[in-house]
Order: sequence, then structure tokens, then C-alpha cells
Amino acid sequence: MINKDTLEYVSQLSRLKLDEAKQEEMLVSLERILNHVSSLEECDTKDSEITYNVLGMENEMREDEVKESFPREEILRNAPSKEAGCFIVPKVL
Amino acid sequence: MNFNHFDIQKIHSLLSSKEISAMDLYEASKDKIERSDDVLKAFITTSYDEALMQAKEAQNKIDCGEHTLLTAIPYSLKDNISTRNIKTTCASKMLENYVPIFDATAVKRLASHSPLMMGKVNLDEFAMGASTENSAFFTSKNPFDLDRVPGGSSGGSATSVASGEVLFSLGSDTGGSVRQPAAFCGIVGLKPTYGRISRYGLVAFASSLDQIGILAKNVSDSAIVLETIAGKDEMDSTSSREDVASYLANLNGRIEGKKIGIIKELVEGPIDPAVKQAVLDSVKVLESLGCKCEFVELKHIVHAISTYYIIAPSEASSNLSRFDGIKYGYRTPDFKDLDELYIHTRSEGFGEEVKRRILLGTFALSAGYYDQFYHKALKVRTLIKQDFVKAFESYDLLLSPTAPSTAFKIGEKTSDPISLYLEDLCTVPVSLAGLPAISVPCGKEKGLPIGLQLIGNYFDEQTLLSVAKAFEDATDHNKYVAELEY
Repeated sequence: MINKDTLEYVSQLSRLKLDEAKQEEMLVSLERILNHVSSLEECDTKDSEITYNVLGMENEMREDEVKESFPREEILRNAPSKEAGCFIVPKVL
Repeated sequence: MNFNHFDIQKIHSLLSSKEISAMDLYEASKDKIERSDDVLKAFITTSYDEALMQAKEAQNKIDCGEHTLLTAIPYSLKDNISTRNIKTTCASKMLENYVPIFDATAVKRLASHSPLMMGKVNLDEFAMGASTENSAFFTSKNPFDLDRVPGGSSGGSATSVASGEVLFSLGSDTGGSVRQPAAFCGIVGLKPTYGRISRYGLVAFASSLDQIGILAKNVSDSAIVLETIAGKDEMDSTSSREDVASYLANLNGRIEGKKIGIIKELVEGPIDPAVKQAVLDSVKVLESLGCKCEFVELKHIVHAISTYYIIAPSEASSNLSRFDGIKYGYRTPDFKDLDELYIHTRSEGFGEEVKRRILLGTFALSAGYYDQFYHKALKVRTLIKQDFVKAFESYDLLLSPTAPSTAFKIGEKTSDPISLYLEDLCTVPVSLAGLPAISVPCGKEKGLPIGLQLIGNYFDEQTLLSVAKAFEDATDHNKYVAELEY
């Protein structure tokens, strides 16, 4: 169901890198889990709707008015790298 | 002073009559933590300085007669609930040094009563696990047997309450993370209806399932905390507008004639025989109190574990994409470009189980597998919910064990994720349906507590608490923790 190539693809999507030894271990455990959850195939769902939210809640919007937010310095307090009120990231372009 | 002989109401009356002070409570809780936590390992961070200020504030309120039931009561918070200026690590290397700039709504609502927040307690990393063994820092111990897990993921919460370090704790419950550790540690664990308590400030794991819950020594204490923190919050659009009852005042003990359905698939499932026996004995107690109990079949709940382990990791893979090493949290020192920054940060910052669930969720959501896994699971979720809705047309409450076994040994299940996932057998169906449930102590096997799970209808926490209280009063299982000595 899941092979080494799929795992590498999914790792890339997840922005995770597993070292060689861990990759094998992860593959074995994912295979076991997917085998287990595949039992859902036995469940007849042809007349069933999907449920995202059990209470059927709908989005609630507040009035679109300007409210005070957190000060910039506070927001940046936990940033690993910052300068002049901005987050620092490596060059993107 | 040993908290294990007192509950919140008793302490409140002692404070009111000036037999004890807020400072006595602060000292007692601090002493207990200092004496026992080297062994128990419940706390990741203690917040004695803040608690001391809260104690002074609490005593002022008491002196002015402005105190409430929760004033000066020592408590702990699971370390995935945000606290302004106090580290909130989620037991992850990713957030090891993260200090929130705001309080979770539940914390804010508690704080207006001036309880004493003694510190932040251990969990499985990002609440993913059933034992606290997935914590990046250490494993918490079960106060009934130090070689065993306290359950999880709110294991630190359960340990801190059962051992008497604090009077109550807030945890979070996505698939059983409040109820199962409560069962393992002989205390009461309440997961309210989805949306009952604001999740603002609770670090997200699986947003359609997450709910803040309460771990306490008895049902009354749980009711007090629930009525304090429940209710609509504009910061969480999924919090409900349903009225919040006076849960404590309404605990009147009148439960005669209540109809209770015993969930056949769970009681007759792969359950430890001693657990099954304790649950059947509990049924007899409820019958003696005038309840009508009979078996009910919920045929789709056999698919609950599979459904949950698709939906929860899928939502987690999306929620945890925010940990990128840029805005807050861990950042790798080793990168050449932006992609490497992301990849190294996440690969170094997350532990094994978190990675496993991100990969599993990303897989279930990826092109080619989406319909087979994620979409299918959402449909089965509907069927599971419908089974419960139908059952509640005939019953006031449903009942099952909380966990399939008593607390297992540390290390016993770490090599096989599936065996740990099966721990959630009885709790996960309730989470998928978004219903409220409570675990109350219902027996002991070889010295280890067993939990009874009672499940209520949507927003009917009152019936749940009333029946749980009547059961508690009719038995002496909640006295186990009082006998623990440290």
C-alpha cells in the first residue's frame, strides 16, 4: 500500500526528512497502520454523507471593524530570527 | 496539609471560616510538588512566583468576602494550553522555549476567580499518545505504581491530581486524552461536548475533535470547573452558544428512572476481564439507584479506531504545518535555503510519533489516496454519529469501560503504535460523535484503578454529571487517591 517511493514523496510534501534507518522503521509502522485502517472498506457508505463538523456548525463572522491587536514587538518575541520589526528568512528569490 | 482528604467545596468552607489561608494552600501545593515531583514527573514547568502572587490576590478577595469556590484552589494546566509569559512547550522540542503572549480563554476565565496556577504539566508531544511516553522530555509516572504509565495524553494532569499536588487540572481530549489518564489514575475525567469550552489558546492537534477537559478528584469539583470555563467565546468560532447550566447546584442525586444503554460492542469487545467485570458491577449499582440498564448495539463503532486514525492525523498534518522555524519555536542552525530551513527545523524539532502522524495524514490527504482514506473516513464518521443519535432516542446515557485495560507498564507498548492506538477503543467513538463523556473510578484490579465511561447526549453535561455523582456517592472508588501516600 505504501512503498519507499511513496514515503519519500509524502515526506517531501510534509517537509520532513527521515534518515535511512528511521525510514525503514517508519515504513513498517505506516504499512501496519494502513492495513488496519483499510478495514473501513468493509463498511458500506454508499448512502452516507460526509461529516466535517459533528454539530453542523457554520462559520461565524464578527463585524468587520478595526480592533486592537497584539503589539508587533510582542508577536516577534518568540521569533528565532528578527530585525527591524520583521521576521528574517533566507533569501527566497 | 494533605489535599487528598479535601475537595474544592471543603477547602472553600475552610477558607471562608479562616481556618486556613490562601498562603497555606500555596505552601501545601508547592511542598507537595517539591517533595514528590522528582519521582512522579508531572510538571514540565512550575510557576511558583505567579502562584504566590495569585495567592496574595486570593487572600485579599477572601478578606473582602469576594471569593468564589475556585479562589485559592491550586491547579495545573496541560502544557498545550497557552499561558501568557509562562512557557507552553506541548512537550516538544519544537516549542521548548516558546512563551505565549496571551492566555487561553479557559485560563482567563479561571483566573478571574484567583485560583493558584502551580505549573504546566506533561503530555505526549502535541497530545499525540496514550501514555506520556511520547513527551520529548520525560515520562510521567502513575501514582499507583511508579513502573506504570499514568495514561495520556493528559498524563501529567492525571498524575498531578491523583497524587494531590493540585486539586484539579485542565487537559485536552481529542480521542480520549482526558478520560483514559483519569481512569488509569483513579480520578474523574470530563470531556464536555465539542464546542462547550472555548479552544482559543489550546494548541491545535485535530480541530474537529479537540476539546478542553477537566481532571479532578470527584464529580462535584469537575462540575464547578466546567461551569466556570464553559460557554461562548468570540475568539473561538466553534464554541457553542448553548446555555451553561449551574452544574453544581443541579447535582441533586435524583436519577431514578434514567435509561442507560450499555454499549455491547465495547463491553464485549477486546476488554480485560477484570475491567469488564468492574463495568458490569457498576451496572448493578446504577440499577440499585433506580436506573434502567440494558444492552444496546452501535454497530458502526467497530470502525471508530480506523476512522479516527485517518481523520485525526489528517487534521494534524495540516495544523502542524505552522511549525516552520520562522514565526516562533525551534529553528535549525543548519540550512542553506528556505526549503532546507523548513525540512531541517521540522525533522529536528518533531519526535517520532508526531512525524508518523504527519506522514500518515499527508498520505491520507494526498492525490490518489484522498477518496480511499480521508473521504471514506468522513462518511464512516457520519454513520458512527448516527448510531449514537439513534441510541439517544431511547436512552438518557450510554455506558462502557473507559479503557480496555488498567495502566500498562512503561515501555510495554512503545514498539508497536497500533497497540497504543487500541487504547483509545472506547473513547474514540465518543470523540468522533462530539458527545460529552466522563470517566469515573469504578473498581480496582491488582491495585490499579479502573474507569467507567458514561456518555451523555449533546450539551447534556448535567445528566452526565448527576448520574456520575450518584454513582460516586453510592460507591467508594473515588477514595483510592485519598489512600495514596507520598
